[in-house]
Amino acid sequence: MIRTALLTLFMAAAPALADGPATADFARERLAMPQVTLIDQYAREQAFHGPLTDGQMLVINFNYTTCESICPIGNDVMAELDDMLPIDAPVRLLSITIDPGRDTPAHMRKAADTFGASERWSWLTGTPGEVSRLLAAFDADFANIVLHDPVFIVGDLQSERFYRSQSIPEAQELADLVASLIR
Amino acid sequence: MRGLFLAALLFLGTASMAQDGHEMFTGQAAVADPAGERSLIRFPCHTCHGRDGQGGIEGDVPPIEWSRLSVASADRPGYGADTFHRAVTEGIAVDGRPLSRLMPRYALNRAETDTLRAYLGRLHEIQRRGVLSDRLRIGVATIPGAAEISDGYRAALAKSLSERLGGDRVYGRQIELVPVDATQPGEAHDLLAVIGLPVAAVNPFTQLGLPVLAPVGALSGNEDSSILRGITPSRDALHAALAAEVATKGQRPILVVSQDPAQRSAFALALSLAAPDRAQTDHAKEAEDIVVLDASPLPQNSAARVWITWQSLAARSTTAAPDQTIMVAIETPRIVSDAITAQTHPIQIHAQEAGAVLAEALKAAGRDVTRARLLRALGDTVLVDIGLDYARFPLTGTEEIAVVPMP
Repeated sequence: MIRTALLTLFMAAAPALADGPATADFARERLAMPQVTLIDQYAREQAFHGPLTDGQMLVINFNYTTCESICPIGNDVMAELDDMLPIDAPVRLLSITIDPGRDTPAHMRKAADTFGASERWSWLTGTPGEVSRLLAAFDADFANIVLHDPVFIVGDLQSERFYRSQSIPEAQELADLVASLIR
Repeated sequence: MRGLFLAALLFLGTASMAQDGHEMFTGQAAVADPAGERSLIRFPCHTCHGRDGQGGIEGDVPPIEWSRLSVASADRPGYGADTFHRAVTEGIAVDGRPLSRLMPRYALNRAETDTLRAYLGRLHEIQRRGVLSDRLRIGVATIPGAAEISDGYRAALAKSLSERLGGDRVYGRQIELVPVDATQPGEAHDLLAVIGLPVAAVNPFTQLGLPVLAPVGALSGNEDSSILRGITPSRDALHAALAAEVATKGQRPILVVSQDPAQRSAFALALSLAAPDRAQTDHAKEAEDIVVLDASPLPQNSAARVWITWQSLAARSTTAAPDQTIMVAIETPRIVSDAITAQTHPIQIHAQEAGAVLAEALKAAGRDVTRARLLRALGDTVLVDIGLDYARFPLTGTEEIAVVPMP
């Protein structure tokens, strides 16, 4: 009951978006994701197609924990969004490393703690091969991690319908998009 | 006389404003931080634009030295005080276009943006302190009351530098090693960098914008590698390696002891990451392995095996039972083994390695060396012969430790 009420309030706050986002800041794409096994910040194995993502609207960013310039700004947007979303909203935030060679689960946990990540926000690393396959599917496999774009992707694995940010979004824009998609 | 007084006031005012500008630029200033805003403390200028304000390729961040901002470029007019204020606070460029969304909008008043702008005007000079036409002035820490050790450290550093550079010059400039009192950071303001500071003395130097290389002791692991580069593992790395070692030694309850709850919690997490099924306990009597992270008293359980870092062992006053097994984590195994081989004091080996790192940084930084370039130049440096890899471990170059039973 409480969950329903919270979701109703959350969606009521979003603008009416009959067919996707109202702004031009997100490009619509169809993306089929491979099954890969990742490791979260608690050192738990997570199948990308599995309980982590089933029935969840995903908000995804890509970062690496030793990045001190643009990554913290993207993570801050995720943190704001994490705070905005109702606690029971069927939304999962995923921060996927683009530097699996160095980003151990311990490093991911430390970064997650720094940004006050809630249970819904998973920080994912894994073997370089598995992470690379996933990044390639998201078209986020940057040849040089320093040149990575501050891209955000919103969507769900079941519909394979995703929205890619064209520039770093505001947390409210992400919240509005998410609300329109789970309506 | 009155003129002199006014000149002194003016000078002091300028110095104060410049320092405030540095604190704003590096996120140390207590500037406005409204709830929900991205403040300078959380997102200081230097993390994206660089400590020299030259910008960066990550995020395609532009240079912001005032000499660059204030003149017109191919795609925009030059900034003035008003347009700079609008850019910083509202995210509107000088030509009226919105700035990148990666650029935070800061809640600063006009006096604050004026101070920041004045600092950007001085960045070029500040970054080249210690860089003279004929020499580079680099500080080497001295330990009060230990002149012989300090002199020996500086001599070993000079010898190592000379061996690595083929002389005492780099790009035609002589390297002048200047003794620096580790308790007087203000006296080092005109140096390019400082070497060999005790870890506890580092912060006041880096807060002034002075690069620090090869401090003596373990860094915490949270420091900023754009202003500080070590040559031995950080405390975080030491604890992570120790946790992995403890976790792989059997399925027995482990007790973690520290006066700092955060340290204890972080170590317990590292243990659970290394061995999720390994039991942990809060009760000394149940524990079969006890990890002591600081100078805390040893819990009463003589049957337990004790794991402790070398630094903590040296700092403790309590002793273990005579037949108790003590495993010691040494954070500088390379330096210790080299010292044993060379039959010299480990601090001499530290100086040699510091010299090797400084030589590489100076060579890689190039002829137009600056404070920021000196440390940035270490970014891809790998020194195979002394086991340092700054591409993998930007802050310390290494995470190698050794755990050995105490004889």
